[in-house]
Amino acid sequence: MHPDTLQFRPEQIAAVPFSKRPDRWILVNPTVASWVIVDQEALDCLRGGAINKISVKQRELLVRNSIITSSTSNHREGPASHIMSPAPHLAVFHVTDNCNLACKYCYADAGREFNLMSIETAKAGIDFAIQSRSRRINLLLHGGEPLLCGAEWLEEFCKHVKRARKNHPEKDIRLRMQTNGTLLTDDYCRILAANGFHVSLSLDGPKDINDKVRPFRVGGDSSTDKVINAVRLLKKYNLSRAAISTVTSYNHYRLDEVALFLDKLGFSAVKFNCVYGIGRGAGSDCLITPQQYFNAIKKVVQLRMDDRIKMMVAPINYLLQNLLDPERRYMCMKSPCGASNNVLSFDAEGKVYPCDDLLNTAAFSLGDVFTCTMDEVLRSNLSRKFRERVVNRITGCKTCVWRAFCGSCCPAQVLLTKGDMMRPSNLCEYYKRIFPYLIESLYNEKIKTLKLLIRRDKLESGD
Amino acid sequence: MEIFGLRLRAMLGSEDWDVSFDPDNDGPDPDHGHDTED
Repeated sequence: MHPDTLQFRPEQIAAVPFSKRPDRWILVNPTVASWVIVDQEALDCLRGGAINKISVKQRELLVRNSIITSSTSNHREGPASHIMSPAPHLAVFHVTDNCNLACKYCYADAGREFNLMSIETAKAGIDFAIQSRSRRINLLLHGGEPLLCGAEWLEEFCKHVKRARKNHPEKDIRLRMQTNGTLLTDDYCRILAANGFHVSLSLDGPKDINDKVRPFRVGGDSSTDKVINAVRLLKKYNLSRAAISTVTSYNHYRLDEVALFLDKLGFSAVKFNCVYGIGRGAGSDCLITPQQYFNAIKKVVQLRMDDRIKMMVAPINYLLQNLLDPERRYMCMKSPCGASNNVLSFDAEGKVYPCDDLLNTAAFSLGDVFTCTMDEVLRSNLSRKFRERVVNRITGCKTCVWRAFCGSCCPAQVLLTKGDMMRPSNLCEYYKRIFPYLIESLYNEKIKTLKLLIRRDKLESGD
Repeated sequence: MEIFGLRLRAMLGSEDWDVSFDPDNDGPDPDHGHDTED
């Protein structure tokens, strides 16, 4: 690769200064989501047109990461777009709007209604979901609290899934449930285990945190002991133990403590979601700033890097994945996002929505599972609108260095809080901090940071 | 002169360094398949 064939275009490459070292820079190609770290001498060579002073090996690294371009080699492709080929692999069943808890920030505002998806609607939803071109279909029971459905409903649901598997052997149908765990019993666990469910519990931390934000609806009593009992039950039936933990004003400053608590309870994976400003979250005292969310996530990054927790921690793995690979597997951090693309949601009446954040708003209904085909739903104007929300079209994102890394998600939250989905992510300021933080971490402690991508027991077993 | 960069595939190969949750092989996925593509 002769240096004369190589070109550095400063107008296409951003130079982001390191936070603590004035002599190091992150060079980012925002178009293809690639980056390298250079010292001042290398930056001067690039800016001064002295590429020939850079070693052959280092020049190759710069070309591979699209920081300099070669007239004789192919450039790396950026994140792939899936606008033209939607194939939902996740169907979210909003089994009920009812809930036995009264979480202060519930984005679904659950507990207002006492409805339940009829089993006929659920069966129609299963049949609808397997129309997708995707081979793998995840059926997720969600709510409200899905275990309000009752054991008989759950068994009927599983029987229909069995029929679907038999009639469609080409499909890989998987069952999942997100529950607060307080209604979990041995009977439920036997059904969940027999049908291969993957279960995730919602828990925001130790009792003194969780009880303040996730009390029982009736009487406002403590729910935490019941959730801890649910963990024990899941363990007894050898069911998966994952958790979703919402980061709020009640736990953000103690998120390291929350992570240690969840790890000790035996969860093997957790996702720390930033509280949404929608549903009951809107205007609540639970809301935190993107800076506070960043500081909270940093605490957990450090814990995992120090090997003090075993759990896999999302969204840290997704952030690193987007930094290190052009493939975008996580539907909530890509452009366009997964709405009406990789996911569809059904409400208790069988209406179809682009994703689970948009349920119960008639304006976002795409049709229903009884009278529409999946193809019709995916070809609708509203579905297209979501798939056409790509980061390069969003004012405020077009010139951002990190746009191809975050995808400016989530459009549903932007739409519900700002009334216009063509606005930058609500977590914009968080993304602008976390990506350079993780890049600097990769530079300073490469192996420890890369370990955040994989489960620790995998490392320990030598796989 | 220092230039530092990492690419997952170039470094390890995506098969050797599986970065997504696959519940059947790797244990639970707290986000219910939001990260799996067909």
